Amino acid sequence: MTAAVDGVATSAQPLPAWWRTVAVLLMAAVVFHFALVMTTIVAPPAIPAPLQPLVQAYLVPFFVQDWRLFSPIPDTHDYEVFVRGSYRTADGHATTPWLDLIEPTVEAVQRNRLSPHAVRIEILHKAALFTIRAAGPYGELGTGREIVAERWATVEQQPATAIVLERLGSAYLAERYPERQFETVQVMVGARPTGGPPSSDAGARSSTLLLRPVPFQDVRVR
Amino acid sequence: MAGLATERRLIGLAFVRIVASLVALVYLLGQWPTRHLIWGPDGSYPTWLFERELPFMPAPSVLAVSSPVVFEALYHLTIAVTICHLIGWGSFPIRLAFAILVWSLLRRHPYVMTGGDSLLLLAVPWLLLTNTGAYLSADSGWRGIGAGWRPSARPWRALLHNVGVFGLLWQLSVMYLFAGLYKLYGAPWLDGSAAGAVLRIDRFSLPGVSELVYGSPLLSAVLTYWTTAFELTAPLLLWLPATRWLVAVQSVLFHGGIGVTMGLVTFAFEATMLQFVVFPDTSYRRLSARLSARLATLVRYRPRFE
Repeated sequence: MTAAVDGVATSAQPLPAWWRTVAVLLMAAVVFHFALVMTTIVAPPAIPAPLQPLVQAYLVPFFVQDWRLFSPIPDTHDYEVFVRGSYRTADGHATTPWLDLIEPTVEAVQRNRLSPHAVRIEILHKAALFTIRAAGPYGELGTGREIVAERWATVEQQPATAIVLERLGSAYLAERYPERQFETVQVMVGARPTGGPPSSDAGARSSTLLLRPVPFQDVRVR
Repeated sequence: MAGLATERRLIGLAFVRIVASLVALVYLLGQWPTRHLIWGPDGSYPTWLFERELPFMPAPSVLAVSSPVVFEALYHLTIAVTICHLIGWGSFPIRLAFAILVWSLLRRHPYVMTGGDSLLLLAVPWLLLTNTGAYLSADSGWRGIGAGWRPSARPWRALLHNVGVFGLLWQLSVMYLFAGLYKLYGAPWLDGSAAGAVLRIDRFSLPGVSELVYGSPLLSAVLTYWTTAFELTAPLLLWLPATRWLVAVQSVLFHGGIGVTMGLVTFAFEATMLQFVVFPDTSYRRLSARLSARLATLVRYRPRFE
């Protein structure tokens, strides 16, 4: 005699009691796992302090999660990243104009939703957003931005996001001007409220960080 | 309890395997020309920077190597393994290799990952417990959905498999639950303006379409409230036979809309793919039988042009 479950004939052999016990325990373990995940999201202090390192070791990095997708408050800024490089000429040094890193990729993805530029936008957007955040409250003020730029004057002192932007900027400059030997790269990052005035003056927006020029980054693209 | 002694949701898992592999290939092949820039040892996130940040973002990656030659080998190995995973060849060793390499790829550059990639990587440990190659795979001899085959009773393997399925459904529920709950703490989500506000962002806008939403407070409110309602109700409704179809339909519309209007295409596929596991194998067989009958009718009564 067989029973059918989900259209599948199951064995007529009764399952041993210890199989059933293991089955219940494993299902309970799954529920406990997600209860732990939810607790760390909703109320981390609810986990006793002595157990927190153990919980961290268990969840990080394979199960840690945070589902703040455009919430609670969507970030309604357009991020801008500009780059310029200085290079040696017969008469001394020259600098390229500011080149927009984000806008061309945005336009490419708007034209074709399957464009591989989607990955580039993701990197640029996150790097710009986290660079602005890393500047903290200093980034809101003119004098503060000078302090941040000074603090991040060398690559070793910079947050990872700024380094990524400088490296992407270097790669972009090298592709745009393949014949030039660049010496420095400089990045400017801005956050403009959506629906705000168009870019007209590269240095005058309220949340614009102008980083110091750093040595041109040797980046392998292909 | 007897139901746990036989592998369930095998057809849905086959579809998950296929979609997960295709998403990985989109990354691997789409970025192939600039793979060194994105993931290489001397790229935009060089290995020295990865190692510097590792104590703060403890997510290891086998692709974090110093040698460009080794990176090339691993990158192309990842492509080969992903193709094997896509066609369902190689059973557990390939599934394990796919899990390790795709994890490593997405974690190699922390700013590449989207929310959909996070969901994919969270699903990977549960997928490893399951049998994703029982249908539509080389290992199964390309067994189709309508095949008469049924899995044999293998209580211990089936138990592990069904624990994996249980975990996947829980993970999907947790994602929607918390995505919805966070919105209850945000004024734009409560006053109905969030959808319009997000679509105003250049990066997430589609000219000609986004203006229709943020230009209309009514449409923005409808989309905003529907998003929140969908995410808050899905965690319960996807478990119920009578309502899981509603969650699946909404998921396709919601995530598909995000993919098209906001340009988050891989996110759309990743967020929708776990819906395949929500439905039992009988649902797919019934659908397959109906479609086959419909196709047979169309063929039988096709107009003859003589």
